[in-house]
Amino acid sequence: MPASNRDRHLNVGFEAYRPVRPLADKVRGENLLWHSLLHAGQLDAWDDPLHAIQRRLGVDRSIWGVFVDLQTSELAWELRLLNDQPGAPLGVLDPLRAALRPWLELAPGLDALGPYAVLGLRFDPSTMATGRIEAIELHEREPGSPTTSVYRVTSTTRELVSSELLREPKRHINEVLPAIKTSEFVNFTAQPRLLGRVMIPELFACRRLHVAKRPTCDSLCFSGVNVEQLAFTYKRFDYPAPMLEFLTANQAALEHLLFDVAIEYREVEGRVTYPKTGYYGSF
Amino acid sequence: MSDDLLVTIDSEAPLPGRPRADGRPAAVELSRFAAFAQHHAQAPTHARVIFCGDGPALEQHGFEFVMAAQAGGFTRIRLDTSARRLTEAAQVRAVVMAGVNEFSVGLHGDTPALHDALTGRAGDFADVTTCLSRLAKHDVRVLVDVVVTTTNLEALPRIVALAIAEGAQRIALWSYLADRDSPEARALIVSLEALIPAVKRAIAQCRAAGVQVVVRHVPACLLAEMSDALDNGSADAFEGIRPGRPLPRFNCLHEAKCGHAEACLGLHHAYVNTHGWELERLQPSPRTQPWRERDRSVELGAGANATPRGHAAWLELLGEHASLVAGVSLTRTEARYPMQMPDQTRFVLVLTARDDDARTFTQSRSFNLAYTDVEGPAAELAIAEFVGPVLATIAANDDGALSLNPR
Ligand code: SF4
Repeated sequence: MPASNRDRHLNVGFEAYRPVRPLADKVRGENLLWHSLLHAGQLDAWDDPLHAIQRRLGVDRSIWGVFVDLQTSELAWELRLLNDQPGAPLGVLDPLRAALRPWLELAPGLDALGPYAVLGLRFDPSTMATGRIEAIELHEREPGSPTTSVYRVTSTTRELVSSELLREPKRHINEVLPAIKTSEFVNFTAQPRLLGRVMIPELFACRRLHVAKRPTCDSLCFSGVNVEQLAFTYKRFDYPAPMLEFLTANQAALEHLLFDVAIEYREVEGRVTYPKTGYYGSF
Repeated sequence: MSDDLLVTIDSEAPLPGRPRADGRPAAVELSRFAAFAQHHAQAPTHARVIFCGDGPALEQHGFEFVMAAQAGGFTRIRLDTSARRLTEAAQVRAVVMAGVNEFSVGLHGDTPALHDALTGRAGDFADVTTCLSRLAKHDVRVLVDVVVTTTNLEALPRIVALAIAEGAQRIALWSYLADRDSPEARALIVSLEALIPAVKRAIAQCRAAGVQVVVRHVPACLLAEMSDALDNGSADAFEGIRPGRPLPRFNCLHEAKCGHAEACLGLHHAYVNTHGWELERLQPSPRTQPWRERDRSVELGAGANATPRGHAAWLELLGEHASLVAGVSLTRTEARYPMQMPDQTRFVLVLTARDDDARTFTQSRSFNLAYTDVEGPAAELAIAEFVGPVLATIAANDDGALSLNPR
């Protein structure tokens, strides 16, 4: 799928950016999403539903993310949609449900929502067979605050699953570092060296940093990294070889894009482990 | 721009700062350098040329390169090659007679066992000491590079003493930069806690002996009163060709807050992966000027002595399109040309040193060409169309005479 000057380029926070290279001979970043689904044997199942979302909400209105479980190499995916209908009672959930109806029920029974900025949903290779996605994730922001709270919501439950600070890594280092170091999962005081394992130097040169606190781990998202840094991520975290081959084969054609690399981490016996890592693009 | 021009004759030479040769194929053609040198004689841009090589190309064409450099008006001509090539008195004499007046030699141990283990070549220590004693008989400048690793840290005072005794006129102390981030490489990286006192003692030792000393790739803040020994500059590479792997990358978490940030590289990525960011140890000094975001993902030249030179030549590069730009601003690492399109879209055309590992849409002989900081209504393809002929002209006009420091 070639790039064109109609493409909008969005980061995971739905901010638009200028592509960093001219668009001639480039391809769209969503090719990586389709290839990841193909690699996991999920393309047949998800091709039509995802294109249905794209048709209903518009091209380059949504974010996709692909995650690799470092233990099992299993893939999982996330979609994020900007709630551009904040006046409607369910916001973007309504059109999203409509788009997915032929294949999946989304958050069945959920019929009232408060205001939210972004709607997220997650799926893995087992999702389609169940015919439903029980929970959605609502990203709620205080106006003017750099912090976002993410709630996982079903028809009967609502739990806080992530609390995120969004900052520039260098300029706001005095806010970023305390946020990272205040951790239930890594003891940076006992081992200052571990900061180098989470603030990964190869990814530090990024445009935005999301510092997230979750119930079972902490997470960082390095937003606005180039394709070279993405390739580093693939190698650093041993992504499946066919995925790396695909990325390498298309690296030059993806040079205009910026990606958002997310790592989940926690300390286990004095070492930092990464349960899941992944990255985002727009589609 | 640097005063030094690096000419890679072949890619097999050991690199200063790396104990082992780990080249990738890249070489400058003799005819191209000779043509450049002719031009250089009329309008010199560099005082020193550094020839780097250790393979068949050096054997075949080394002397011709040196002769071209002499005719080209370079006052300092340095050779970076293996010591094993300079162990015969006759060889050394011939090279000196040809015009080479500086030699750099790597010495990483005070015993054969220590040095040879680091270079990975049995007999190398013997060759280095023979080479140094041969060079001592000539009126040439001998530069000794010492890479400090965990294995030779304890021996550093003896290595420095040996280098001084063998006639070194300048000693460069390099903190070890791993080419690859492997467990073996990490095991060689010395923590700053151990490195800094050892390096400071070595600086004092050299100075006491009246030998010039420079330190490479060490945080400026930790050298304190000895930070004048820090030298992070790197030579301009002829046609952008460098031996060895891509330049190592550095960062510091204090960058935006530190007054030294423009001149200091911070920490090598492999260092951070081994010893962490060293937040507690580093001592940023307060900034007096606002910080500007800059790509620190690649090595910087010594930004402090950035001097705009020869603006006219940089405008000539654009040929007939020079009228489209609102001037040129030059630093050691970038030439920036602000441009405006008829629809008022503004952007900056940026030339950086050619880097085949970070290709841009267009590359000329010496430069990566790109544009940035777009403001205005034009779509990307319209900008590409507008800027295309300008890039093509630069590519056509770039004869290698101008160069920029890789960052
Ligand atoms: S604090 Fe960082 S940027 Fe400042 S001098 Fe030290 S290492 Fe360099």
